[in-house]
Amino acid sequence: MDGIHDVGGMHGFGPATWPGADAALPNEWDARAFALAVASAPRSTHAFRHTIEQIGHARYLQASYYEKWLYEAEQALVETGALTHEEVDAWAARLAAGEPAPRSTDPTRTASLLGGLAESHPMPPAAAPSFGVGDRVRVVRMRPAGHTRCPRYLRGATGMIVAVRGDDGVPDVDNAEREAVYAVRFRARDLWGTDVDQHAVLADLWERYLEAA
Amino acid sequence: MHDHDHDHHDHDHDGHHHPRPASEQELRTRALEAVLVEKGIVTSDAIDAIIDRYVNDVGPQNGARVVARAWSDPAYRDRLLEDGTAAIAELGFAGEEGHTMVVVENTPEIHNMIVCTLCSCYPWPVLGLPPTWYKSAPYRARVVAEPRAVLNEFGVELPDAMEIRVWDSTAEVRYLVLPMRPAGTDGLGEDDLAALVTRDSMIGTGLPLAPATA
Repeated sequence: MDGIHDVGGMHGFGPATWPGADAALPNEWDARAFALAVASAPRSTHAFRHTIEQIGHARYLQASYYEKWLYEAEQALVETGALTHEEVDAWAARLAAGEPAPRSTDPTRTASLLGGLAESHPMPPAAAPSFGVGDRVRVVRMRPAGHTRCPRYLRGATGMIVAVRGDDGVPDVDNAEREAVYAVRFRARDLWGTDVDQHAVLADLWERYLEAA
Repeated sequence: MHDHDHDHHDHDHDGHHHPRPASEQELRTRALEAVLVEKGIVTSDAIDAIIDRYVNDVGPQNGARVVARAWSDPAYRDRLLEDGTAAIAELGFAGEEGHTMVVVENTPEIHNMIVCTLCSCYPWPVLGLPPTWYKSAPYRARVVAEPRAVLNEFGVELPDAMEIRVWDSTAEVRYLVLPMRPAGTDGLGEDDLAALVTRDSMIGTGLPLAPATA
């Protein structure tokens, strides 16, 4: 979807860094919200991102980072039927009234969860890529209503394949299909009409986002 | 925040977001955890262990080991640039948000920078969790269009002739910048070299420390 999350190239957000912006987890609850989202995640990474993209523009910009994760975690669990918002409301009231939170431990399950977090599953080589290194490609024009990982600022631009990364599940169909992912290099002047910084932008794009140029 | 319409943040005159005392989100977080624990969907020790992993064990100190090894061992550097995932795993670093790693090398001619314009993709196994600025709109919006202006805000000025390459992490590849080894470090071992490698130098918004200032 062409939402507020897709910010590449936009003006008006102000300085890139500011005092305090170096912290990864500014508040203690940020860490718990992060860990809850990681431990409970009932859906794919693509579904995770799409839920956050649908928060709404004003809220997306105002919410802190882990506020979005907290929202996503609860929303995903509600949508998959694991719990209801009302159950969370009820516990919020009990905690606010001073009731202690329940605690549980399961060392075997926790060890297995941590082991999974430390495992890498690299992308396998592309089985049947249509493009090769050095090919000129154009990013297709699109306006998808659902999730996509093809940013707006690249659409219609011409670039060159610099690497074939491998095969991966397509975000737009939540991994229902797999296809080749390519690293594509774009000249700044082909994206912005100017090249004051003499830079290049490189992005990893699924095959369906590209056409021969 | 699902059913609340309050403005959760105050804005100063620069438009920066300063979270208020986070009682509402904090309470919601605790309530969600309580429901999940009660239903057996997660256990409390798992939440504690995940936090411990990403606060204490996984962070830029891992990436600094990788960089220091690459600076010290030319064969390792070659393997790192050829297959980042495998070479990083040699040092014991792997996992979530780092399944497929690509390492991009800075040279006297080329300076690399990493961003995720669509969300906040970041190589957790080598850098930990991203700083707030990395996952905020200004950096994500601007670095693909005006990297030198962004670099200046981080205190970095590069020669005009240097080519800047900005890598937008739009798919599941995660990037690590291999910065240039600073001058005057010929005699240093890997531990001393790793101390010069800053987090920002591995994102591309900074440069490694000079040995005298380490």
